[in-house]
Amino acid sequence: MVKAKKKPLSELKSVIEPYKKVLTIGCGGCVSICLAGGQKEVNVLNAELSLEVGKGVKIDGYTIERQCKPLYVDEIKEIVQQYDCLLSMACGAGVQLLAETYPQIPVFPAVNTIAIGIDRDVGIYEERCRACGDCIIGYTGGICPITRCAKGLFNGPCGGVNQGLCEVSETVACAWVEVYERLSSQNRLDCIDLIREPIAWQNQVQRTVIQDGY
Amino acid sequence: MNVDLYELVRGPLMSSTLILFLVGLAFRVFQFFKATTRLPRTAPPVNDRRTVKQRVNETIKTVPRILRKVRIHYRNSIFSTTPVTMWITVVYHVILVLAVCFTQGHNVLLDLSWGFSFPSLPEKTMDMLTLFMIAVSLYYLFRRAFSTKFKFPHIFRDYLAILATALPFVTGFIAYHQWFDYRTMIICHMLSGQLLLIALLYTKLGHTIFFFFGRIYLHGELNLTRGTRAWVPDQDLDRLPGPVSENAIDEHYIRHMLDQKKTQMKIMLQYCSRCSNCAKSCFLYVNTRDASYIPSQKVFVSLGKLYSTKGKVQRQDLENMVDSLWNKCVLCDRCYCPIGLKIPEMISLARTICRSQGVYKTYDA
Ligand code: SF4
Ligand code: SF4
Ligand code: SF4
Repeated sequence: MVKAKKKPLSELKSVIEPYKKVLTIGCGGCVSICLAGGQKEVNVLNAELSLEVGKGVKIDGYTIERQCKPLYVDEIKEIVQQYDCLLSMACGAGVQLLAETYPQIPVFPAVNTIAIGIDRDVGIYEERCRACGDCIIGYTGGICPITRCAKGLFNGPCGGVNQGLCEVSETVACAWVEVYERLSSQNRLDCIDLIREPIAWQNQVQRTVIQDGY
Repeated sequence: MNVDLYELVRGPLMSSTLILFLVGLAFRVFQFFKATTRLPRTAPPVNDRRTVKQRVNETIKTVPRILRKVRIHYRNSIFSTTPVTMWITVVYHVILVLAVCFTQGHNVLLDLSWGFSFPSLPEKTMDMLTLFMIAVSLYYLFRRAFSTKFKFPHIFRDYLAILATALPFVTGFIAYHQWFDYRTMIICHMLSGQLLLIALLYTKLGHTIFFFFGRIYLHGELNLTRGTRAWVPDQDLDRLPGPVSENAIDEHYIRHMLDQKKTQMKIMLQYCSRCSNCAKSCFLYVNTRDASYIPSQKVFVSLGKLYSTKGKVQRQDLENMVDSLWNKCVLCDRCYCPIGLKIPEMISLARTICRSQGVYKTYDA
């Protein structure tokens, strides 16, 4: 589901510099599965940070079930009071709920939330959805053109397609050619003719998360 | 009479045990390879244009970084959280192999029977190692009896496993020192050794052998190598569960689902050594320190029960599993098992079976 990647250590180090008591909070949900912010990553990050900042700074860790659910975030209300900053290893949603629940304590994200994606292999994740809020893949053969097409076209292909490749690069396949091929193999080519009304979305390039490993 | 028994145990019985062991081992290897499949490479090889010299130089530059990683990894491993138990355990397993191959007595017999032998360790050393093994066995027994981490069902088998491993060492030690009647003792020693060899294949002591498959061949986050194989189901699911009724459950369907992954799941259930080393990798256990949160415990009360009863369970039994399967596990997929068992796969199968019968956690209560 949500895929994230740990922030560079130097950034995290400078973020916690002013504080003496730091609690790193992991999430047992999506970020655990993509090896970015589960209990193990909390332990590893804390070990790395303590090597950087030296003694005198108290760095502890705790992992809760899901940081996007108030029930679990409330669980640690007694614990967080003992710290002067929180490092959250959850996705952006989790960090925000944590910050909202404990507004008096500074909360920092320890990971960059990247995408909604699939697990290609251990530690390799590919983006598949931009959460545009108006899913059309029922008409595009189960291929999301917003994520996969370099221009994020809702209606395609454009004139830039050349022998199955996209004009932006020789290594990028045209998503709309794949859409065409899948629909034609299912005898549903009429779907590609439907004109989809524009919606407001951000044009971004497709991203793949590859964890560095330990 | 005793002479005959001695000859019998030393000669034909020993040869048949060894042959049985080798055949059994070959069968286990075959079974493993049959139940797994080779994975395709997902990442294409990168076209690396650097010269060898450049590559060596760059690798040398990364050494400090790698050392640092190793250090951090070690600090977070079970060797650092439970150092005494882990180091004893590693040494214990190494001695086990040493004792079989490099004891003088064994080599003399080997030479007499088959005309070849391994080098032998000095007798005094072997004597000390044997004492160490007996002491560790006592430590294991003590830990199992008194630590809260070991409250498994059918705990008796766990004691038996420790005793079965210790017995050849105890009898060998007594025989070597010629206490009691030497012949009786050496016969006991040989018999218990033969028993251990067979148990190595057919009981949970097989974790020693499975380790090499689990941590080296299987593909996964926690493997020692970039494993290349993954489990495949014995058969495919060929139908969906029928409509759920109020009280009854569909035993045939449960059986169908159990059979689907039978080889894999039975191997994993059988070879779990119940060492509870998976405990600290589960954040829920770390947060609660409650033994029922230990990953292998959750598996034994759910999937273990389904397989041991061959799916003949009551609806109430499934409902009793909900707590372990849903409330006590979020399926975060991160349990670490030193011998390479895939606990999340077992928990998710148990969940699927429960769900097929309309038993699951409801969030709206
Ligand atoms: S907080 Fe984010 S990472 Fe954690 S479970 Fe919720 S959505 Fe997933
Ligand atoms: S699952 Fe692995 S770590 Fe857990 S008790 Fe069994 S053998 Fe030990
Ligand atoms: S998958 Fe379940 S048992 Fe394993 S670590 Fe996660 S919560 Fe614990």
